[in-house]
Amino acid sequence: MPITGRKPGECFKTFRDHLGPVLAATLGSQHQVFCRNDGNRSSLSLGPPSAIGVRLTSSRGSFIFSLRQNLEVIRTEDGKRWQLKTREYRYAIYDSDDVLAEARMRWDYVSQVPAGKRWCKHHFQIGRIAGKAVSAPFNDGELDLNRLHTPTGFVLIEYVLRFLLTDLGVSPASPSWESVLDSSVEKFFKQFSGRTS
Amino acid sequence: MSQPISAQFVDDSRARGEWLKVAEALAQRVLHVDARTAYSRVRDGEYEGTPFAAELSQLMFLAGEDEPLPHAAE
Repeated sequence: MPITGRKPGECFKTFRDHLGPVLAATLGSQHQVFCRNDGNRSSLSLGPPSAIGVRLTSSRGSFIFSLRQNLEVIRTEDGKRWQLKTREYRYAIYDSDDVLAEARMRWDYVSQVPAGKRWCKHHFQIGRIAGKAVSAPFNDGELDLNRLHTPTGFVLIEYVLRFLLTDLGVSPASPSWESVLDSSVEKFFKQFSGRTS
Repeated sequence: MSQPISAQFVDDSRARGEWLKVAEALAQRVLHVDARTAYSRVRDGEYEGTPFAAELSQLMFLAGEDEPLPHAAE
């Protein structure tokens, strides 16, 4: 079942109680999650909204990691409780603090694809660098990887955090990071399920 | 029993109209257009993958200016 509560705030609290320890064990508790709210809606961002994200140092140098989620609570079908819905998520890696520079790589989800678009709601993309496409050979031509909305399924933040640590070489904040991630994923599927999306 | 270490959460709660004002300021500062015009461009794919698009989308979501969701999508 999805995250539910008797009041909207209860749903958000459950979500925070789930996310907070995961971020602390992986990236550290020094990073704050800013929650901008309006009644039944909450937009989360890692680091202050005025910033693009949080700068992380890794074995591959430093980069900016952005975590953003749009959450909403709606009435359950029986009208007695509230349930949490993820309207959008954006997990992105930037190598620039230019607000108009594309992310080097990003995982996106939108609950409703914009009018006229037909790509997969959950996808992964590789951005252009200074307006120039990163491409891959394909038959006799080249594929612009920014034009590809590669399907992913619902990507858990735990998966992206693991990627940051294991593939990009960010030092984990806690020696127990891996068990914290595994427990969190298990809890997600047992208690919250994919219907959270 | 000790509580698990957690990231800190910082709240900023405002009415929808106030979030629209924040979106207007962002759109004017970056693109020199109003928020709805900027958001229309973003939804059309311009600025895709940029922090600007991500931030504006969040603000318009908070302002209730995102596209209405059909019940079938629930």
